[in-house]
Amino acid sequence: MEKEQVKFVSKEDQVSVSFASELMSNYFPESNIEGSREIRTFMVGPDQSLIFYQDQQEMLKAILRKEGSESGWIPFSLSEDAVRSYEFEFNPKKGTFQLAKVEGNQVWVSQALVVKDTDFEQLDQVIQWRKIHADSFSETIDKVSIGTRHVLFGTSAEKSDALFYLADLNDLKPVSYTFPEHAKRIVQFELGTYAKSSGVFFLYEIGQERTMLFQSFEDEETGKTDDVRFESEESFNCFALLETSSGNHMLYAAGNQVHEYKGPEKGEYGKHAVLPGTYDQIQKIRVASYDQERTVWAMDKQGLFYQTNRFFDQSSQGFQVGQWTNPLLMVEGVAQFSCAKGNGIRNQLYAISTEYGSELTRLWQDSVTTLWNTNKVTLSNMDSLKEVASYSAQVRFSTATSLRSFQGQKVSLSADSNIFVYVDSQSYHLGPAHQVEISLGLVPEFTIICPVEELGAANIHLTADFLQGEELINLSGKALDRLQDKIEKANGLGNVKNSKGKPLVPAGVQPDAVQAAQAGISQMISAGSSMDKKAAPVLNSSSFRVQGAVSAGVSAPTVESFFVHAGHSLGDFLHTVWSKAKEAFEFVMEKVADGFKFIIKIGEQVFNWIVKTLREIGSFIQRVFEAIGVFFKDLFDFLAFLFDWHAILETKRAYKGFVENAIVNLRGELVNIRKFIDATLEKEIEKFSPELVSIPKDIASVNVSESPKESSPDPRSNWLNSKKQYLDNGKTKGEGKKMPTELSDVFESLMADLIPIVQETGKGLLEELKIVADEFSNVIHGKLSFGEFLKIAMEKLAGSGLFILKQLMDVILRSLESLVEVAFIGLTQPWNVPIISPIYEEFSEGDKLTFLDLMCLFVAIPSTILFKIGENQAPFESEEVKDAFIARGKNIFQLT
Amino acid sequence: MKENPNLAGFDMVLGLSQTTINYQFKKLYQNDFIQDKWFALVGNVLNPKEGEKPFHLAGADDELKSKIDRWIALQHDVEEAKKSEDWAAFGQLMNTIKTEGLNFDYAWDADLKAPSIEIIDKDPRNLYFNLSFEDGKLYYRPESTSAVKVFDLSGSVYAFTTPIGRIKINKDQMVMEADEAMDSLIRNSGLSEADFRIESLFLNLENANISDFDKNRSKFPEDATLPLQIAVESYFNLMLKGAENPYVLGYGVTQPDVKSSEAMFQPTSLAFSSSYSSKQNTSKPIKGQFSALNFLMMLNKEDAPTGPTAGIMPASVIELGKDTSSTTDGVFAIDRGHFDQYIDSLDAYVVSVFKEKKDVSIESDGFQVKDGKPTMVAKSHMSGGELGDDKIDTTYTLVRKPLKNVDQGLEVEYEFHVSIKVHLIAKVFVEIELKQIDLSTSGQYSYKDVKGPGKVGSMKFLIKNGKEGRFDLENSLDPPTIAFDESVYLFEGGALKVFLNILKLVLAWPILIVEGIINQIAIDLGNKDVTKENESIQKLRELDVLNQTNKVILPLGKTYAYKNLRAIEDKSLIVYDITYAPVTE
Repeated sequence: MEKEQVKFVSKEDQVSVSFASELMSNYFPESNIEGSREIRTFMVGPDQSLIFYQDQQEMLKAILRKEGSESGWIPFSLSEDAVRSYEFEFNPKKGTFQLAKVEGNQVWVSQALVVKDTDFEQLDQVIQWRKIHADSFSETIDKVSIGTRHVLFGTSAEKSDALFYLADLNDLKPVSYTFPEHAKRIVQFELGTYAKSSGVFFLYEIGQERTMLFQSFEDEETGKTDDVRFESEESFNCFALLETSSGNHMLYAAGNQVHEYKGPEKGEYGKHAVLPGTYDQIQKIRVASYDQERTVWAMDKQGLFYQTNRFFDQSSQGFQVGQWTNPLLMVEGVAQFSCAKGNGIRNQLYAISTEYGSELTRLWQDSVTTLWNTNKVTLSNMDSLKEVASYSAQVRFSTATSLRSFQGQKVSLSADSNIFVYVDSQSYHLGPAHQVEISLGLVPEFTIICPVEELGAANIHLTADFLQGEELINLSGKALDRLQDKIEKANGLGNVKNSKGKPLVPAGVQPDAVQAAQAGISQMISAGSSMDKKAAPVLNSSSFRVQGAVSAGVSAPTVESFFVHAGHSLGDFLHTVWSKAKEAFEFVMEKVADGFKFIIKIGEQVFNWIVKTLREIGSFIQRVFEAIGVFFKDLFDFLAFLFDWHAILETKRAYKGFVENAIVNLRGELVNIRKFIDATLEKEIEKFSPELVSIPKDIASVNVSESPKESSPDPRSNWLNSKKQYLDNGKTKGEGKKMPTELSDVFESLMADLIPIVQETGKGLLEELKIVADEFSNVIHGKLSFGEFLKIAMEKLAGSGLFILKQLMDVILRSLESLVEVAFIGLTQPWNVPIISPIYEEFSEGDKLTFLDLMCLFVAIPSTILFKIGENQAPFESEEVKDAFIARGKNIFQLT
Repeated sequence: MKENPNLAGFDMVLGLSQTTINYQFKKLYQNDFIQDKWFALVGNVLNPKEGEKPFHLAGADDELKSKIDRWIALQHDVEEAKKSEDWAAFGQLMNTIKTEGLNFDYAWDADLKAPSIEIIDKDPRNLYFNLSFEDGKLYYRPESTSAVKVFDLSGSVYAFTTPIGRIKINKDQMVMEADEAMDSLIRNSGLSEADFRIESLFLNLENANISDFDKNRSKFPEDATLPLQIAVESYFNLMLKGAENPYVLGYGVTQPDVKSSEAMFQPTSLAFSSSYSSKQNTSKPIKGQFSALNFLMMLNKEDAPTGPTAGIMPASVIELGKDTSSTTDGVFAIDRGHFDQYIDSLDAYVVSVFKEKKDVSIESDGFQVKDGKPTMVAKSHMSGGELGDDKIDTTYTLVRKPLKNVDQGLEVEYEFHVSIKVHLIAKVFVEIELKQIDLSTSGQYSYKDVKGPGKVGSMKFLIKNGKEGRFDLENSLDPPTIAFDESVYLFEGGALKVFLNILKLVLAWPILIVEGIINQIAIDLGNKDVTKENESIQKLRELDVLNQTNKVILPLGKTYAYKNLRAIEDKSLIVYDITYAPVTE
């Protein structure tokens, strides 16, 4: 017998890519992170954040970004008890990372971990602690700070001044130091350098007031410290340090304003400058810099603000570093935050927002479009369910050449602006400089899920060794077309009704405004679709340059306005200015050489930008809708595919009834079936001669690894299928019952038994099995009796050799017997499948998911969706049809 | 006022430690405020002709370097020509030197270390100034016809004494440098806070006798003695006299601007001295830790003492330090007599609280000494209204106890005595006092709502060093308790009945006043537990005397940070520890 070598697809195989993208809800087995106090971020690599936070019980936790993992984050627990304070230090010279915490009124210091040699995915295992304490246990250790050479902690006690302790990291022997004043409580301290001396910046309370102090470490020669105080008209709440090229730190102290203090250098006295903008009591401030560019993040009672000295200057038509912008409110109701920079991510921060229930939220600015994005940082949690609005694109590969396998072949994904997506169940960062490789499975398809908060989405670029050229996946195109279509069908935006039959545009919006918006939206949609798909990403996107003005995609307005003087980029404008001035606007669009020029007039002020990506266009469309009171939520309800859970449940119930009947029936019939097969096989063995053992030609041309041709890719019908990776993940987590081990045992033994058979027969057997399976579906649909089916099956399979057939049937029957037993258990026993159980329980109003339910759902979801899309009604809307179908199950396996 | 010998006749003395000054010099040096390099050619120093003034050449390194080389080469040839008596060549070379402008006497190409000072034992009017060289060379031409000698300065130290005792601050110069706000302050006081900054120490060392170097402290090649003496002195003089600001050492140190506010104890004149101390910290002994450079100050424009011993402190005030760790830099001492000015203002405040109460009059309008104790007596007389014919006389007495050192500060305690006399009067044509009932804080007897025994109240104020020269006043107020001086069971019949009515009023009026006073102080001084607020409190807030917590009491708060305020009774001093911690604002 001829054995086939597995051949992989190549460029010569004319591989075609088909995809479909839908705006729809998606679900992930994830939970949000609830933080309480300090968040700190360490960049383990250019793209890999390690975020530390204190949870609601003030336990120290960390999460590590991991591309290609579920949720994208791996969690760690780093304390056994509440942690009062913690800090880490990265030593850039040695490349080491070290952590210190206050737990149980002692200071714990980790070993210095060499970053490049450390497996951060095992952080909680790798980390080792040494502990130190204050001179007296009557002192309460309030805070800890760690530097490259020292660890520092502050204590307070009932009747005496606050003290601080300094210990060399080598010997960890703390020595106490006093403050120059009667400091009662240390508000904040940070190790730093001022006027060329290493030391500590302190903010402490003295009486009803506060002092901001730098105190150097003791000078060896004179035994003295250098002390400098920093004052302004107001009292400070917090501060941040920024290291400059001279090695000294600049101080940013904040009360209602941000004060910048530069120490003495090169014979010049220190300077104090006040940044523009007045806040409402800043509670936390952070400063980041890249070269000369600085960014201040300040959190006050209102929320989190951002200001930068990268100022958009209209006269020079570009950005100038040095002048500060006014503060912009980025996130409202923030309680904690930490900022970091990443590759392709201009500004990134993690915040705990009380408005959203203390959940850890990520806010980041794409370096290409300057647009701001927010998403909740989540942890994979198999017992939890998170619904996200998303673009879901199912991508399939097929080839005209038969018998070429895609398995293990790599596909590269990137995007024209930076986005965070899921590919099936794994989280990835895609961007111009962020290419991700996906391995294809036996079935060459995957689903890309891109969570969105507005209509705009990036284009995804797909390349592979087996593809002739680059493929572009336009995520938002279909939704935008549908929008345009709906507007046209309704004879204007003003007449468009939402899914509940109510007008999409709320009452009270001026008809003129609706008309203008409609005109603008239509133009933008056609502009978006006219963008040459292959050449769309025209931006210089291959490298990340902070100062590169080109990356902003913003052109200069020539009209005077305070917004423009404030020097904000497009992304900043859309994120904040627009939302505050959207009452009246005028909108102009022009085609220019390198993109589209959008002009927006708000009152007397004119803004214009040249946009070059579909993402930006989508973002604009979103803002235009917002201007007439239509928000993303409304558009989502209007445009997105919404699962009809009721119809799906009906279908599932029909299937379940059928299968239940079938199983009961099968159980009783199995003995007869075995007898029948054995008897038939005996007869057939006599009848068939060895030379007949061959595969029919028409079957040989079928490609096993090809996706079913009968349907085009559709992320809606494929929805549950794209979640099957989660099935295995219920094993170790959660308290609910897991997938019955008996079932996986059955599958495992079936597979183990099948392998030698398949090895012997080659792939031809699988082809035969496929035909057999098709025939089986005829049995279910009543077109064929089970007896006939078995005959056909054996006839087909006989081609593989009767000896093997006997083996095969034996294996199948044994499995069937086991399966029926398991299925019997499964009939009643609820079990916990990530994502599916919680959704199921929600929509079925509390019914527990059984094994049988799940199997039926796998069939019910795609069949209901496809049936509805095709027939415009659910498959089992009629009770008679449903009852008849269920009844068929009773005699399906009867041989006579 | 009597001069305090412990302050050498001055009103206030700030002693700044030698180690602090040297560390601060080092900081100025590290941050390029003082020159770390001497690189210059100087001429017309030795035997100048009439009308010739010393000049110096400074400029780009390369330029100076080649000039020095050329000068050395020419002088070498001159000496050779002179030796070989080749007068033609000699004349030509001398001419070349002249025409090329290379007639120099010496040149520096030296890297300096941070300068340092040393306070001298038994010499409170001078200190050593150590000029240290890292490396580099002194080029010296003893005569116009001789070759240039080169001295290696690596590790050399040139130490000289500089007088500090009789410096007078040039007022006009300071006014010029000050901003508008400071202008009036300086005019009033004659002093700016900048005068107390380290930078000013350079400014005030201008009368140094530079050529008079100290042999023991100096270190340089023996044959370089004369050249160094001449070159150092000449160069200083050149830099000092030629420069707009005559700063010593040619260091271009300028005074920083300091926006200070006027303090209760604002100095109006300043002089300097030093106090040597051999004392050292046991944990980390460093020479000069307790030696002080003294800023000697007078208050209220009083004349500074002038006698031969004026400014010579019996001991370094730093030896009085409570926290002598690395954080602190010295001690500030105020004559106790002057500090009482602050206590007086505290008294005035307390008096004002009583004055604000209706029907209360203060004897002698404030505190007076009774039985040797500062005492305030306030009285109220109540009659009419519900009292009918009866009358109540209440006396409130506050006795201030001696100042007491406690943790972190000074405690002022007022004893609060109350005495109430109730006069029961029958009025039939004339008033007849039927009975007088006495209640007081020393009463022992209870009756009804009046629970004995009585107790003298206490109002304690802890004066702590606050921010920038202000005081934080922490109060603990323990109200007095009033009880009957005699047992009320002694009364009988009608008098008792009448008294019971009056008792209510006793509780209602004088005791309410007591409570009001206590409340008032608590509110004024920021005790958060008390929230009652009314118009009279608003008025009181505006009184200057109440702004204690925001008032700058101690001077130089923008330059020094303070703590551990305490009294040293046997020396009649109020002292506190200071840290040199200039404010950037």
